[in-house]
Amino acid sequence: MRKKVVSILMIAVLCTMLFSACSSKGTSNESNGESVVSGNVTNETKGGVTSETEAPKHYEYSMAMRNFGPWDENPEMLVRWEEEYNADFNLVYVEDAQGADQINLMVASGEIPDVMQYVDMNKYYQDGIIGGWTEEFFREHAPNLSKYIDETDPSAWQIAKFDGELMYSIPCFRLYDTIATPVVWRTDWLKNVGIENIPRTLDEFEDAFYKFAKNDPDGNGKNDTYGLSQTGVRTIYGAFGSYRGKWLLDENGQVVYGDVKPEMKQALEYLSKWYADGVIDPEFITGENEGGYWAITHKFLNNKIGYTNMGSFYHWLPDMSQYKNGTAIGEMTAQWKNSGNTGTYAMGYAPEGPNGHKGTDQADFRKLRTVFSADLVKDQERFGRLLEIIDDMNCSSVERSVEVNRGTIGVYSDIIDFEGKKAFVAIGDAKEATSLNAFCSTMGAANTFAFIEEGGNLEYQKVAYAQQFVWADEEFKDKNNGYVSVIFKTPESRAKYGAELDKILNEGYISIITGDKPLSYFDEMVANWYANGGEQITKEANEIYANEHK
Amino acid sequence: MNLRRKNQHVNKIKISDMVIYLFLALFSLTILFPFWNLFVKSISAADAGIVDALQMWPKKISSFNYKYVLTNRYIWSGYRETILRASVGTVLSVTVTAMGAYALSKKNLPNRNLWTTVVLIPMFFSGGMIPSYLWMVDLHLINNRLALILPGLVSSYNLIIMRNFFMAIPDSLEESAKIDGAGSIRIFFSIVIPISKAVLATVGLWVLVGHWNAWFDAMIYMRDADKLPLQVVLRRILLEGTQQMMDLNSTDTNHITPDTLKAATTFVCMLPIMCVYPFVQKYFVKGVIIGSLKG
Amino acid sequence: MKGKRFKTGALLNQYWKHKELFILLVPALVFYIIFCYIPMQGIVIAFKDYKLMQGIWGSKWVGLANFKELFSTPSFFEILKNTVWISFLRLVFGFPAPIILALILNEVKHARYKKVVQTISYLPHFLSWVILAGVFQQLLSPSSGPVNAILTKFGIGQIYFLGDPRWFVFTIITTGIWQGVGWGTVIYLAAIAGIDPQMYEAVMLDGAGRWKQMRYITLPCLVPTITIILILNTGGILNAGFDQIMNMYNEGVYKVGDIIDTYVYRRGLEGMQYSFSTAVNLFKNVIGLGFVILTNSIAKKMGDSSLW
Repeated sequence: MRKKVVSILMIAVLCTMLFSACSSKGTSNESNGESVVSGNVTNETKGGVTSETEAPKHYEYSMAMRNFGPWDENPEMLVRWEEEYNADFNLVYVEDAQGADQINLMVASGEIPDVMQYVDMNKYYQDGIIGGWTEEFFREHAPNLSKYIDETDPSAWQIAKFDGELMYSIPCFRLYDTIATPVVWRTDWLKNVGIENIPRTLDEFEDAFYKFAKNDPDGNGKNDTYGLSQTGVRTIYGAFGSYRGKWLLDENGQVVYGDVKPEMKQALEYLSKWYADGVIDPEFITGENEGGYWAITHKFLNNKIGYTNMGSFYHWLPDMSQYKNGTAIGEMTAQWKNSGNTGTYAMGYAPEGPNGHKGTDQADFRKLRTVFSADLVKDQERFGRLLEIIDDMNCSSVERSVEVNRGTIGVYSDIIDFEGKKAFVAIGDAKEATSLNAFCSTMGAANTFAFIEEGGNLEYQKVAYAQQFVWADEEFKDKNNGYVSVIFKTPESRAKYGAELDKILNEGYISIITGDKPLSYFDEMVANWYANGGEQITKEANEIYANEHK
Repeated sequence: MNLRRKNQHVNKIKISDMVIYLFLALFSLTILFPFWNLFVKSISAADAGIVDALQMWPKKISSFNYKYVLTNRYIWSGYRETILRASVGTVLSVTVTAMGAYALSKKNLPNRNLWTTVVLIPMFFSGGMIPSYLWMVDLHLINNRLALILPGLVSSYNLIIMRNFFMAIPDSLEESAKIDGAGSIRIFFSIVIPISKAVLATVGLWVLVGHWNAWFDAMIYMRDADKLPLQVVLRRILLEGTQQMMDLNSTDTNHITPDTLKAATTFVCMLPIMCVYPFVQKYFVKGVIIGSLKG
Repeated sequence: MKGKRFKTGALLNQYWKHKELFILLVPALVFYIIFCYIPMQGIVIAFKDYKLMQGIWGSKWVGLANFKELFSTPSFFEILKNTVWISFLRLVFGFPAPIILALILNEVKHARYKKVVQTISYLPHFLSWVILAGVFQQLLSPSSGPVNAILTKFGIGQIYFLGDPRWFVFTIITTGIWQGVGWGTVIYLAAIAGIDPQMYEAVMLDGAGRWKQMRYITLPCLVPTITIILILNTGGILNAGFDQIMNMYNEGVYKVGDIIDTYVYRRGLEGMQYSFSTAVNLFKNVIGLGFVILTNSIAKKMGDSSLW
């Protein structure tokens, strides 16, 4: 009895401590909130005091930018821009992998950066953390960017309008994503099995795959080769007018998830037959990459398969060091060269199906990169001035963009002629650095002021990656069109149903291909998908489509 | 008679010894194999091609990966911070844990079950990342090195295991000291600690390695680049190396492959902590048993 | 009334009498209050729809909605079953492994050999599963891996260890043991080092060989340690090894390899779901606590080592 009483007493003491801590916490949180508000007030009054003078007012911006690494103390380029634009940029470094979490923590503690990247924009919009502004306001303060958007793809305006009216981010574009993922053939294998031309149609593909699997294309006397593996498999779907993981339009103009489009059944018929005949690498489930950098296909490198769709085009970029400013090399190319594999390969075409469909994976080249805190956007003068700065830094001229991203021209960077086109080249210390991105990051260039994708417009991107696009434009001309989702925004209830739905599809596709389940299981799988949330997601996808095409 | 029996044993032992030695040798090989492979990766030149899991010798040796890692300007401050947090953190942790464990091991501690429960509950319930972070902000521990040490000061798991070891100490050892008028605190420091080196070393090792490998706390609590521990620095180096895939300065001979870089960072991180082992092992191996078996 | 006060006083007297013991406990208690119990209020977000701006207490209460969402997941029973099964196998096979290794190491007389083996056995603990997964994928590959080459030589045929649902769990358990066994021996070696040598001398006088010494002295002396660690480990019954599985599984083995943590991770990729993941953790830990209490009471009945 007495023990109990004292135990209760002890617990009571504990509880009081807990409660006092809770309450003190509550108040301190409030005071945090207050301090943020008062901080803004002082800024506003500052603005008010100086508003009579003509020169741009001095403002301060805290920014969590997606950089390659931390900055130096007083980075050279940052100092230059602060002077030039009469502003203070307080950079907050957050790690790439944990960036979203880190900013969430800052927001939770009331310390919201004015400018944010990494974050879950839709959630932030719903929670009222980020602010929206009118298109007119944007056009007034960012004329160059507006022109850029109008000229490149005006549909991008709408993707930034989360509520259909106000803009919550700056629409921009990424040149890399104008090129679909490459398909690559072992040309020496094709020759060895008696195929002269790179296959174009699905029938030709099938023929080549069977010969790769059966006719010992590498001539080692062993039956150890296959036609295709994980990435090759996904290009086959494209031949039937659908693609896995993409939202596409059906013949009635409705948005449908690619995986559940009925055409997929035909593709699966081919694939399951190929699997049964030993044409598809049975290890396609674990994939072509055996650890390390994701875009390396070990299966292709090690003479197991003769066809792949791994990586993006720039992973296959040839060694350009023979050019006077050429330095870049694709990761796959480097590995291929160094692996001692004497075979040859070439970029091919996506397989063309019975109804003329073809295509590989392609990302949407429209992007949203940066969002702004609600407090900043509310402060129209401060925010307007920032838009003006962004407009000038990222979109006024190629030269400015080169300087913003690669350092001062004449010191770190230069623009030269490359195959008749303007091209950026690193000079001085930047040229000597092991890693240009890392070097530029520390001095406040690279992505430090990349408010839009790549920190510049498409014209700038063509200059920045001149050699890559000179090669790619030639190599991939008319080769592949890609499958791009028709909606930009992810349907909201994917958060709830996505994991389950993907599981249904991934398991289903694999078991149909491997023959664990008959082809007829496809219909059951699709029904299953719709019943477990697919219906809801599809509905949302159609709403998004309607909103994005207003 | 007795002697003959002993001789028989000697013969038997030899066969069983063989089996044991062989088994352990094979076991060690299965472990060393991937390690050697990793080492080969770490000293392979970027233009030597892919190192696969079976390759036992580099096609082309290069110290480039190590140079790249070790010339990072935050690497040495990273070592400093890690050694600092690991040493201070371990000493503090082991001390506080051992004191608490000793108190809980004694039957005459009032409300012993209650306090044991208080210790056990946090093993199962924690507020999670956001509440912990907000609380650290309130405690003004952001960007303070204590933020890496205090929140993980005591682990209930370690405390319970230590408590169990203390419970196994025969009471007779402490009785005489009690008669001499020594209090619990003195008994703990002068009698219990010296005979519990094995378990202190074990828990110390666990805490030490935990500190050595930790990175997440530093990433969310620390702001200054020169206060970041080694693991965070290495993560950044790796990240930089991976992003370099699209780097305009990377040529065939001058480019980093994430594979080889990862291998090199693994060794850069692991080697110092491996050197600690012999010192810790001393406390188990030098145990009384070996001596008595020899004698 | 008077009696009560007297009895309360008696307990306070106890505290006063054993104040030195209590003082030893105080630093740990202060730590627990400040760094465990105070942030623990964050658990309430499991019952809320947590919004960053509203804060923990300002967010809307949703009752058990987050739990309902977990339980109503169509594959909930599949992932629960997988989690429990993998954990169970880890307990049955993975738990004794370090004990056996420690006993074997204890039999090695050659001190240097023992040290070397011990040191080597710790090594894998320092490799992340990201690295190990790559190594195993190549070692265990059906077409090019050496393990399958050996199996084929013995006429067993190729086994797709990582892609075949029939073999995946076996592979996870085995590689898990390989990685953790050496590190796990540390505590048992410490316990063995603490055994009173006189006990061995006593049975050696009776002519007991090594087997009998191990059977009647070493192992019984390890029982309290084993029991406590076993009890504590049952608390992790719903943690089946996220890091390892995350890096080694694939779509082909979801049926057997998808556990609660990997599922929640994939879900979390779609955006911040703090409330949901807190609810899942709470569920996992309540079950874990239940198991600890259960095994503890069994242990209490069977012997004298238990948590309470």
